[in-house]
Amino acid sequence: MIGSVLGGIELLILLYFTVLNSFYAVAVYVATRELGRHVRRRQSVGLTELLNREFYKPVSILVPAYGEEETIEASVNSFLALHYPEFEVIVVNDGSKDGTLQALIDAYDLVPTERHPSRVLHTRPIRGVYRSRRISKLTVVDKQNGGKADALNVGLTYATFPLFCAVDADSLLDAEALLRLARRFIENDRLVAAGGSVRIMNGGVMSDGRVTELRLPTTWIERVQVVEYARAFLAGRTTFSALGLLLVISGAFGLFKRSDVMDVGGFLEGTVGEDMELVLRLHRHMREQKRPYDIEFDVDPVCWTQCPDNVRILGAQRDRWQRGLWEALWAHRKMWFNPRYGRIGLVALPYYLLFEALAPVIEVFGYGFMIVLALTGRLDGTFVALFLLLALLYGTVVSVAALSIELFMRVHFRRPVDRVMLLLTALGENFGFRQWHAWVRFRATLKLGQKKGQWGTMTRTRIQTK
Amino acid sequence: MKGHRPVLGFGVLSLGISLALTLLILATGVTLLTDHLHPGARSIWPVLIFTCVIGGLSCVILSVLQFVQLGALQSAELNATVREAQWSEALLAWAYADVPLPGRLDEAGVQTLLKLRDSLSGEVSDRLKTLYGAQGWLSRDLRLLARRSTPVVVRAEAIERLALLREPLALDALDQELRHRHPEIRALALLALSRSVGRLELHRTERTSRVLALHGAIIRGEFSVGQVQEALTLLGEAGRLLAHELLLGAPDILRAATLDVLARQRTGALHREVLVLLSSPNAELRAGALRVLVSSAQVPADSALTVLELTEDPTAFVRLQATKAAAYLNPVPAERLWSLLGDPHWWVRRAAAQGLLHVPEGERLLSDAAVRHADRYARDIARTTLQEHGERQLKMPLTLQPVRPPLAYAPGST
Repeated sequence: MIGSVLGGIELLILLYFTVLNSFYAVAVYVATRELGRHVRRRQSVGLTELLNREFYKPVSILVPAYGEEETIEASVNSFLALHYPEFEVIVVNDGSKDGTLQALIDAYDLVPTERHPSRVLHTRPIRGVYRSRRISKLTVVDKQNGGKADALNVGLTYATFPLFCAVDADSLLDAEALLRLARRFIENDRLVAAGGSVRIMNGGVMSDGRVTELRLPTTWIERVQVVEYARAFLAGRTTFSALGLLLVISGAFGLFKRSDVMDVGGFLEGTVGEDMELVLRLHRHMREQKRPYDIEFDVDPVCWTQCPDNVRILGAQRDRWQRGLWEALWAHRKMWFNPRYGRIGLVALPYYLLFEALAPVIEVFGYGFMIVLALTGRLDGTFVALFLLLALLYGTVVSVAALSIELFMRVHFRRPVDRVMLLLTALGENFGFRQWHAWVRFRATLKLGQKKGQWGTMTRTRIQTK
Repeated sequence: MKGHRPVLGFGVLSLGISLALTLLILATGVTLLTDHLHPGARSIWPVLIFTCVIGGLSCVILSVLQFVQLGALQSAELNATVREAQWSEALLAWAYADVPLPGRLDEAGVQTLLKLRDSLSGEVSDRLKTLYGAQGWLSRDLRLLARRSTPVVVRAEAIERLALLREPLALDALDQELRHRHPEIRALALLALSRSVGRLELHRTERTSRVLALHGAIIRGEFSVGQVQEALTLLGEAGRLLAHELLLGAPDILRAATLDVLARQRTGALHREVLVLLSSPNAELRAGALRVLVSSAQVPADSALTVLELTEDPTAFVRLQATKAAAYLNPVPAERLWSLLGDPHWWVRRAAAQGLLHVPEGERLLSDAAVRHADRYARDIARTTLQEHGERQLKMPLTLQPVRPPLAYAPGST
């Protein structure tokens, strides 16, 4: 009896990883196909001319900031230097305890100004609005602390253009990133939101606030994240987008139609995964209204971000991401397996639920199960081998494939030594890091509901702009 | 783009291998799972070892391919740069000084020629266009478009070349592509045609027929609103006729898009058609029409009454545009702008305050409004606008401020 129960559990675990790997196989195929389209895509004609002739969709760039004293000036400089004809930058200081606001006042010669836009979104009180004497397109809003979603809602309230781009204050945008992403809105009337790639700038060489050459970061923990981001953005999101299943547009870089986001009530206050929650709400709203729409990911426009360089901060970040994932999924549980929501309800949400949110639980359970079997002398060598094969080896092949895709990006790792190290990292991440990561996310799952809508803790490194 | 092909080949090869191997491992996993359900039938260890070896090998092959790919990419980039520099020098020498070309144009030469054709103007640019045709590239492109079996990517590349070339002989072929079944080809053809017609000095009759053909394609609903706006922008002056047709008979969404383009072009043309839309039941159209007037800085006197009525429109964004337009009326309706300083919407208040600056006594009016206006928010916006205007601080404690005689229409301070 016990033997058959254990056999059944073994089978379920192995089946789980088999289905997961089947998706990865599809992902590699679809990403390859999309890559081919991307490389062939015509982008040269008229781009410059369009700029000269003033054809574009104006964009508001929303920069929510909390405790960004070290990086805020370089980030805002990079946003202000964007290659885009008409945009405004709205920095929202979410009651930072450090000198973020003062750094902005000093850097941009800010003076208080009066502005009272229609308060259609409920937010925490505004402490002051500032404009720059030197740069007319910069507005800084200082508000009481209320979390990132609240800060973004304030930005939305003050935004004046039809499209808005939500970015992280510790990120840099490629010069033409906004142009490329906004171009999608010209080509497609149904588009309500589009996300670009987010890549890691740690270790990179920067000039004038731009990443000009990629170099591998020095610490192991940062390198692992380079591989992770390549896998997630270049294979994962490309595939989800191509299949019309995209549920996440990274909070670090996404472009949205302001009117549609206002229609759904802006960002949801008190969530840690406000980016995913908003995209889910847009899907839900559009499908309930039976409005044709698209939400897409484009691999080419790139936003550069700093990743944590130590285990403690990375753990806190992943804890937050896991809770955000669960919060967003739970808030829209009505859509799970619900045919009314089409492929989102029947495919995308079940996938995220079973293979993203529950993945660490099942993985940790799998490891624990093996330990119990070993201690009770019931460990079957075949099960161990199959588990390792399906859970680890296959993941390595996918990572290596994702690194192949990385070569087609405009800015990629060029030094052979970096590529060797990346490949070794792709192999090595399965031994230690992956188990630790699963454990962190497993613990976060157990803590659901304990913390609400807080900013992530991140030690910033001053971005060298010259 | 051609330079990417060998590199892409490597990429597809490496990823193809990745796909094949991942599927192999998956298939092996499924086989092993089946075996797991019926244990003891045979030993699975050889299969497991085989799978691990294959998995490891796939990683090694992929890794090696990456380095091959990296080398190819770098060499392709270097080669493309060198070839472009060589052709650029040769083509310029040919165009300016009749120095013979080193040989027939290859793909790198064609790309360079098209870039030069696009960036230069006048006789030199036209000579480059002639060279393109003389070397057989134009007829090759036209043949590719005429052939139904031409793959989409090859067809798109041909249209892209013709868009850069801007050749009257290619317009019929591009016109045909507006009906292609593939949306990307249709969009590229629209872009190429509008770009060519906008830049070529065509005879009026031909220009009209081309624009009307574009209008037909647009009305068939085959393009996004953004693409229509792009076409209108690229057509430039030639786009007036298209804009006229769209304003008269297109669905509201296209009319609003057309008004948006006209506003961006800051043109005073088509005002007659635009003014009709001030009375549209659609608020987007009313606001769009006002925006065209504002951007052209011309508000005809006979529409003054309509504009003033629209400053009381129930829709805030219409009121905003009407308030901005009111500032271009002659004389500026200062009294109305004064009362609009107290509008419930901040943007309208701000536009009214900025509009008052157009009045000869504008600064004085605003100073007065800053202390005397009945509405608290009106006083705020007046003060802020004055502060921004000329970057001077307005410090006016009410008790110490010298009193000026209030304007006739200014209600007393509360």
